[in-house]
Amino acid sequence: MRLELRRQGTILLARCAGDLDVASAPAFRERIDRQLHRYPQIIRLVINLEKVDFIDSSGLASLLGRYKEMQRRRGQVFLVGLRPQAYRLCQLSGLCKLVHVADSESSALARVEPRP
Amino acid sequence: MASESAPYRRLRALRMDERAPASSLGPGPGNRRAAADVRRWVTFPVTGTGALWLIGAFLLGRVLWWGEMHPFLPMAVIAATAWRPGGQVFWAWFGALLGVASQHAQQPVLLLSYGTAALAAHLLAGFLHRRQLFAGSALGLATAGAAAYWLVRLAWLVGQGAVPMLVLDAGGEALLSLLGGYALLVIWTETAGTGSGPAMSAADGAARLSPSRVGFALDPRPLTHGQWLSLIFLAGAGVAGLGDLKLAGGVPVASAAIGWLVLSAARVGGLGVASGVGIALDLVPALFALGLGSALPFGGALGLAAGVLSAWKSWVMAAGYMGMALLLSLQEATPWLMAGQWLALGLGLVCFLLVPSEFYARLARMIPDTAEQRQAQVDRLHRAHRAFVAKLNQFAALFQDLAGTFSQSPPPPEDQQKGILQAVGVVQELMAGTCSHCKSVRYCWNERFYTTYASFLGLITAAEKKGQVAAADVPGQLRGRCSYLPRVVDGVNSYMARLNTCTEWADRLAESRAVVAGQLRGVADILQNLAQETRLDVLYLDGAEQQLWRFFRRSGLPMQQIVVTRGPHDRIQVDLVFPACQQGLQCPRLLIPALSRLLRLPLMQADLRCGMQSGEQSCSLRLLPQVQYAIQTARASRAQDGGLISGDACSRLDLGDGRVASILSDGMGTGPRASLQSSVTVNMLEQLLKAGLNRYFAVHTVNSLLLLRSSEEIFATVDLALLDRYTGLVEFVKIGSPPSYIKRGKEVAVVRGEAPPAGMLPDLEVDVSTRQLQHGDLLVMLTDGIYESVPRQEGQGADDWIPGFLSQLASDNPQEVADALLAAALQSQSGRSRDDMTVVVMRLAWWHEQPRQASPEPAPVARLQRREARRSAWPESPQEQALG
Repeated sequence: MRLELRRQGTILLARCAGDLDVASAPAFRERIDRQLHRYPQIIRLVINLEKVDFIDSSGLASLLGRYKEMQRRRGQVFLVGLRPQAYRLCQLSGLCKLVHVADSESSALARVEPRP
Repeated sequence: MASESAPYRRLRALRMDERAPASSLGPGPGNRRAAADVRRWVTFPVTGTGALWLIGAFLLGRVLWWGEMHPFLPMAVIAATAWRPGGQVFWAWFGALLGVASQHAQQPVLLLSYGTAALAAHLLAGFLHRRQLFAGSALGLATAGAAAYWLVRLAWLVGQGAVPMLVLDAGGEALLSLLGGYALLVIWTETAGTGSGPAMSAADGAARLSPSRVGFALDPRPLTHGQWLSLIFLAGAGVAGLGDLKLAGGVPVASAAIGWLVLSAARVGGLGVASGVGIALDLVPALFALGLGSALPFGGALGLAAGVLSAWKSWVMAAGYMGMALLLSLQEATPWLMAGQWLALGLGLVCFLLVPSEFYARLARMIPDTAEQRQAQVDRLHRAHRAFVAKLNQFAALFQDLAGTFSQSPPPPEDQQKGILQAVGVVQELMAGTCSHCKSVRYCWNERFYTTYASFLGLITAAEKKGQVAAADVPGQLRGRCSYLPRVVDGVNSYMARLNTCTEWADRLAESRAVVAGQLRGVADILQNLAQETRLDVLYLDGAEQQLWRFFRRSGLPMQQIVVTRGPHDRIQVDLVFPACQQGLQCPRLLIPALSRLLRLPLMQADLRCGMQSGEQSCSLRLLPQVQYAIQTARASRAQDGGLISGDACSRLDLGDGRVASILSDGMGTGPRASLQSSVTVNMLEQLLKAGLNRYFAVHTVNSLLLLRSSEEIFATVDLALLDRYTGLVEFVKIGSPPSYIKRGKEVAVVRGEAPPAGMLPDLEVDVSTRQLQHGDLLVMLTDGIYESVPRQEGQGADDWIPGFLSQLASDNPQEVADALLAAALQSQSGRSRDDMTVVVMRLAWWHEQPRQASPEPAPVARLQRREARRSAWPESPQEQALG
C-alpha cells in the first residue's frame, strides 16, 4: 500500500492506495503515529481511502486506533472516498457513526471545524 | 471456649490497676470489671441458663450406680468446665454435690471425698483446657478429668484405712463408675459427629434450649443427630436422677417428667421421635437400676400412642396417651401404675398442655427431618439470599463511590485563561533565558516594554497556530532590532513542544483516571446486575416439595434435598440432590417421566451433575418445564488460505433456563493471534452468560476485559444470538459483526447492527434487537469472510448476495445450508479464502418432532407416580395448566 502524508497546520492528510490489510496496516499505523507524535498540534486527521480497494479487520483496527488517538486529542477524523467494501466494513463496525465521512478531500476540509 | 477464666481476668485487671497512675483514686476499669464478674457469678443461679445448669447438675449428681457411685458427677463438672470456664463452674460443682448429698446425707466423709474428687477433676480439666492441650478433644479432656477424679477417690479410701481388699473393690467400683461416665462420653462422641466432643455437644444443646432463649430467640439452627441423641440421653439421665423423688400425695416426679417429655417429643417430632424418646426414658434409668418402667416399656408405649396422634390436636393426643396408660394398667403383670402414677401422668399432661405451642414449634425447627426444620431451612435460605444481595449492593455502591472519586478532578482552567497563563510563562522564560544575556535587554524590556511584550505574544500565538515558528514569523519591530533572534525562535519552539508534551501527558493521565473510573463503574454494574440476577423473586413451592418428599419416601428413592421454585416467567424449576449411585446418568430417565406425571407438568432435564462421574457423594439434577422448541445447529468454516488455524471462534451454550446462546467471534487478523483473541472472547462470554449476567452486561464486561488485557490495537467481533426455546424469541447483540439472516421459506430477513468491535473503545454501545422465530425457521450467522465473498458473476453487492442465495436454497437442513453457503463463498474467491470464513446455521423445530430414544419407566415407579398423580393437590399456575 502506498501512503502519502501531508501536514497543513493542525491537519494531517493521509492519502492511501492499495489494500489496507494485515500486511500494510502496521506501516500505516506507524507512519501516521510518527507524524502525530512529532506534531502534537495536529487535531484533524483526514484519511483519503479513494484508492483503497480492500480493508480487512487489521485495517479496520488501525482506523479505529487512529480515531481513538484523535479522540484523546479531542480532534476529528475524516474518512474520504470510501469504496463500497470499505464503507460496509466501517458501517458494520460503527466507525461511520464515530468519524466524519466525506466524498472528497475538499468537502472534508470544508467541514473542518475551528479548533475547539 | 478459649476465653480466660474469671480469676485470671480479675488478676490481670488487678495488674492493670497496679500500672495505673496513682492519681486514679476512683474505681478503675479493672475494679469495675472484677465487680461485674463477681456480680455475674453471684447471680448466675437465678438466670435461666444458670438455673438449668444447677438443676441439671443436681440431677446428674443424684444418679447412683451400684448404690454408692456417682458416674455423672465428674461429667457434669468437666462439661461445665469445658463449656463455661470461670466462676459459674462452681455452681455446676455445687449442684452436683448437692445431688450427691441428697443421696448420702448421713455420710459427710463420703461427701467430702466426692467434693475433693470433683474439684480435682475440675482443676485438671480447667488447666488443660486453658493451655489448649486438649483443644477440640472433649474426650481427652474428660478422660484427664475423670482420672483425676478417680485418683482422689482412691486416695480417700486408702487414707481411711480400708483393708486392701476393700480398696481394691472400691477401686474397681470407682473404675467402673468412671468407665460408666467415660462410656457415656464415648457414646456422645460417636454420635455427636460434629467434632465438638460430647461435653460440648451436650452443653451446646443445653445452652440452645436454655429458658432465657426459649420463646424469645431460640436458635433455629438444626441440631445434629448426635446432639439430639445426646439430649435424649441427658434427659434419661435426668429422669434417673429424679429417682424416687415424690411430691405430696406420693406423686413420683420421674413419672411426671417421663409423661411430659414423651408428649413433648410427640408434638415436636411425631411418631418416630416420641417412640425413641419413650424407649430411651425407659432404658437409661433402667441402667441405673432404679426400677422405673423396667417391667414394661411404658415410655415407649406412651410415646407410640402420642406419636400416632401427633398430627391431631393436643387434646386428641392427650386422650391417646391416657388411653394407652389405661390399657397398660389393665395388665396384671404391671406393677407400675399404682395410686400416684395416675396423678403423675396427669401432671405430665397438664405440664404439656400449659407449655405454649410456640415453644414446640420452635423446638421442632431444631429437630432433624421435621417439616418445621425443613421450613426453617427454606427461611434461612431466603435470609441468606437477602443478605447476599444486600452485600452485593453494598459492594456495588462502594465501587460506584470509588469510581466517583476517580472521576472527580480539579476543574480545568478556562481555555482562554489557560492560554494566557501559558503565554506569560513562555515570555518570562525567554526573558530570563535569552534576553538577559543581551546588551539591549534594558532597551527592549524597559523602554520598549509594551511593543516587545506584544511582539513576543504574537510570536507565541503564531507558534500555537502553526505548531512551530520561524524567524519570518517574528513581528517586524522585534525582528529588526533583536540580535538573538534564532535563539528566541528556538526557545519558543522548544517551550511549545514541552508544553504540548505536558498537555499530552495531562490528557493521558485524565484518560487513565477515566479508564479506571470506568472499570470501577463496570465492576459496580456487574455486582448490581449480579444482585438482580440472583432472582429473589422466586417463589418456593412448599406444597410441591412436600408432595415430592412423600413420593420419594414411598418409592424408596433416597433424596437429600428437594427445592421447587417458581421463577421468572412463571416457570417451575425442580432441583434435586440425591446420593450418587453406580448406574451412571440413569436418574433422568427414571425421574423425569415420573415427576412429570406426578406434577402434571412435562419436565425436561436442564442440568445434571453426576456424582459417579465427578467423584462426589451426591448428584444434582435440575428439571425445567419441557421447552416447545428444539434447535438444530450446524457449522461450516474454513481458515484463511486453507490454513489449520482459524481466527473465528463459535460456541453454542445452553444457559440452563431454556435459552440457548449462539456466539460467533472473529478475531482481528488471521492465524493464531486472531484465534486466541476470538476464543478468549467466546470463552469469557460463555462464562459470564452461564453465571447469569444478562447479555448487555456480559458484552460490556468482555469489552472491558479485552481493553485491559492488551494495550495493542487488537479486537474481536461479537455476534450473539439468544434463543428462547419456550417462546421462539431470539435476541441479537451485534458488536462489529456482519448481519445475520432469518430464512422462512423463500423469505429472508436481515438483522443488522452497527457497533465497534470489542476491545477497542471504552464506551461500547450495545444494541439489542429481537425477532420472533417460528417452527422451521433458519437462523444464519456468519463472519465477514463469508459476508465479503461476493460472487462476481451475479453482479450483486455483499448486502444482496446472501439473502438472494438463501432464498433460492430448497434445503432446510442446517448442515446442508451451512455447507452450501461456505461453498458459494469459496467459489467466489476461486476456492481460495482471503479471510477466515465461518457460518453457523440453526433451525428451530417443534420439540416433539425431534427424534428421541424411548425411555421405559421402571414398573414400581410407574405405579407410584399414577397413584401420586391421582392424589395430587398442588395448585397449578395457568401456564402449567396450559402446558399440562
